Amino acid sequence: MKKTKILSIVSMLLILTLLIGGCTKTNQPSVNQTPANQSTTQTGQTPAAPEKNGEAVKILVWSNNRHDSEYTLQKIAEFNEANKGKIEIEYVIQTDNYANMITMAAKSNQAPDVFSISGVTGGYELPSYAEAKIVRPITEYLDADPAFRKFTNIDNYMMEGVNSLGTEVYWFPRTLRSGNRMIYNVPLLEEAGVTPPKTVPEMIEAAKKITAAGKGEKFGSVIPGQSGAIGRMIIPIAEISGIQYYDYKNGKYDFSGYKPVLQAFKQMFDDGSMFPGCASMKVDPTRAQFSAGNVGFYGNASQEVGVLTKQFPAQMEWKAAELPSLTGEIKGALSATPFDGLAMSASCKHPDEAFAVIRWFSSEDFMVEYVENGLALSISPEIMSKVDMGKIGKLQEFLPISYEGVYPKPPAVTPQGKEWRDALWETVIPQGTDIDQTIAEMNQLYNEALDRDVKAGKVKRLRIKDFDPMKPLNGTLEYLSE
Amino acid sequence: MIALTSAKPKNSMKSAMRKDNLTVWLMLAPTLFLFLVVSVYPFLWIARYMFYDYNGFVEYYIGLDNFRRLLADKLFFKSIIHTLEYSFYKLITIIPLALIVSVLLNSKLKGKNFFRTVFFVPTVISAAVASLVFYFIYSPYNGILNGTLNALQITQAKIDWLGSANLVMLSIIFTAIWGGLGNYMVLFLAGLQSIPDSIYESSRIDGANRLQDFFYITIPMLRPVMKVILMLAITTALKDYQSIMVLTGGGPAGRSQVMFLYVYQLMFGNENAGGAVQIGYGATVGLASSLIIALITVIYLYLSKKMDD
Repeated sequence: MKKTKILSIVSMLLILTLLIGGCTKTNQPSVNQTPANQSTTQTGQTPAAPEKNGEAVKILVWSNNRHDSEYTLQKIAEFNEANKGKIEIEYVIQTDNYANMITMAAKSNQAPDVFSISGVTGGYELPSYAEAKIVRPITEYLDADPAFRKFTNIDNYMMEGVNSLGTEVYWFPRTLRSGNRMIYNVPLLEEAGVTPPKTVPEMIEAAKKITAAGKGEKFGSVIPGQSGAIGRMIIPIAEISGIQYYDYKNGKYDFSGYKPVLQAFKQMFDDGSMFPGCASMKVDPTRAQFSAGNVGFYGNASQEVGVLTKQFPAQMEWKAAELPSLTGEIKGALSATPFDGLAMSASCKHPDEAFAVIRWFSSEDFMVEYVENGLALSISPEIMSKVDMGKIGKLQEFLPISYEGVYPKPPAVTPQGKEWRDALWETVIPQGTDIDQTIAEMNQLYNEALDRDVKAGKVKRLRIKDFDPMKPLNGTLEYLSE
Repeated sequence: MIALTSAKPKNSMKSAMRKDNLTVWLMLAPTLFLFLVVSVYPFLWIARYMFYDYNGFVEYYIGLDNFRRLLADKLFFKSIIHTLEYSFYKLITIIPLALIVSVLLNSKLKGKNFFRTVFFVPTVISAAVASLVFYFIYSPYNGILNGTLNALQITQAKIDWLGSANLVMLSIIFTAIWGGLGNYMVLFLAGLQSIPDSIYESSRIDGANRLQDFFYITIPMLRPVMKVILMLAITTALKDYQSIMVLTGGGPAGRSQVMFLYVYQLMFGNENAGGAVQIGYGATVGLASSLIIALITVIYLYLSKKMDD
């Protein structure tokens, strides 16, 4: 009996010790926690000197790009070989919950030195990142080398609150994700006797005809209801029809203009022209259905080249056409997305080497072949001039069109209710909500949130009195505190 | 002498009790430690954000605004209704079904161990993985379910099991029943095996049939176990959200939005809506949801105690 008791006490103590031991932070330095070099203001044009002990400086890079991993990993291997003993890139692809992963890593002092950031999509808020000291500006490096600054084309893509705050630049985009196009199945449209539509009513009709010709097996269009649904066709069609959800001239939210576009998509659902079940589908299953030849058309941007040639190789001929507008007339710019920037962590211990890595990722060495492999279009005219256009294949379908542009980012407010993208999408799906009522609710919800957040000093009201929807970035941006 | 002899056992009893107490506390220590570290501390950490507007980076003190918002939040009230609807239909199906299956598998059935395994396997599969499989089964275009219905010539329609407001609840409840049945079956089996065979033998001698055995012996004898199983089932059903997140993300048009999925989307962002997070308000909704579950559990315990009395 006594023996058993002693044994149980000893076991408990052992478990307790193990538990406490398991929760204690060890002080073993990891490879990346080598003593910090003093930060300098050199541009890092060439890889910096090796560490004293002869080991290369390891730069940890996080990316959320999976589509280019094969090419990127191969180029990194070449870089590491060429820079032996100087810089070594450790490349990690993180795709799920990327923005949260970055935040958590930064808060627990495990942030990567460099991380990919798009700013326009993916839930990033540069002001919050900067305020929380997750990113640091790279202006000093760009200013120290005007030729490189010009090469990056950053001065044409300074987006307040997205990649810059005032005069400070936090990242420059390397690629330009095209505005969305109508990606269509050539044989299906031919069978239905339709051509890519120029107006929204023509689009509704085309979808109907494709569905009818498909005899219950092929359908007009598809939108992934569970993955950024409204951004695929509804927002871009509204944009080129001169409709924005933010009234830049008066500095307030206004969703009223969306009504005819929402009605059009509701009509397509009512007609049975949308792929069955797409209201609850994620993006990849919709891509798989298109590549299997079951869908007439869908809306997406230049990244689909990689998707439809590598991820889900299309079983039929496909092309990309310009999206239709409400009347056929182009009244506003189509959002193109400056993309794939690389930001430097505020906690980075080797900023010179980290910038050298950022610089290499945007260099001719990396980018020319990147474009030629059909992975994306470069934002730098210098790179594009060196690309062999014969090699880019289907990416040609997504070359910039005259009315593409970048919109200033409306203030990011915290609505006390449904997010507008969700709410508007719910008006078009079967058994969805009422369009007029939803628009009225969103106008009230978002303007109340804007007033409240401006008053609390969380955001500034953006007003562009001379806003031109065809050239959205050209106006005079005012940031008001009331 | 008498006094001396009676004092000695008293002292040894006291020291034995002290030793027992020590053993008890040491045995409890790991659980208590984990409880404090992974339950109490995170709760206290998050509790302060109920008074803040916090987006994961910067916090703004807003006093009681989150609580005011909660009282007027239509989405939260809808999520409560959906949670209760989901839990009610899940419970009235899964508990009787688990009981029937366990009674059948407790009898002298051929191959009962095989069936026990078959029914139990879903409980060891991750809810997310199982839901992903069901996502494909329910697919309107080329899903197995519609395919089977077509093959049996029941209907040729491409039924949208997850995208229809009328069918989505049925679909997610079916998935939940498939995933949870084995768990309750095992608990019932444990209860059934504690009923002595002699009771059934005497009832046979008295001429009772199997149905009478079930209603007059099995169910009354299972009452204490059933009380615990029901409590577990109620709290589990009210907290469910993982499979719903994978299957529908709360859609269509919020028709399958349940309390903890709403909390998750507030805390970690909604993929379809740009991923903005509202940790302060999420914490407030989380607290309210936990209190609702606690209240329902207390009412259940009170009622079951009253019925016992």
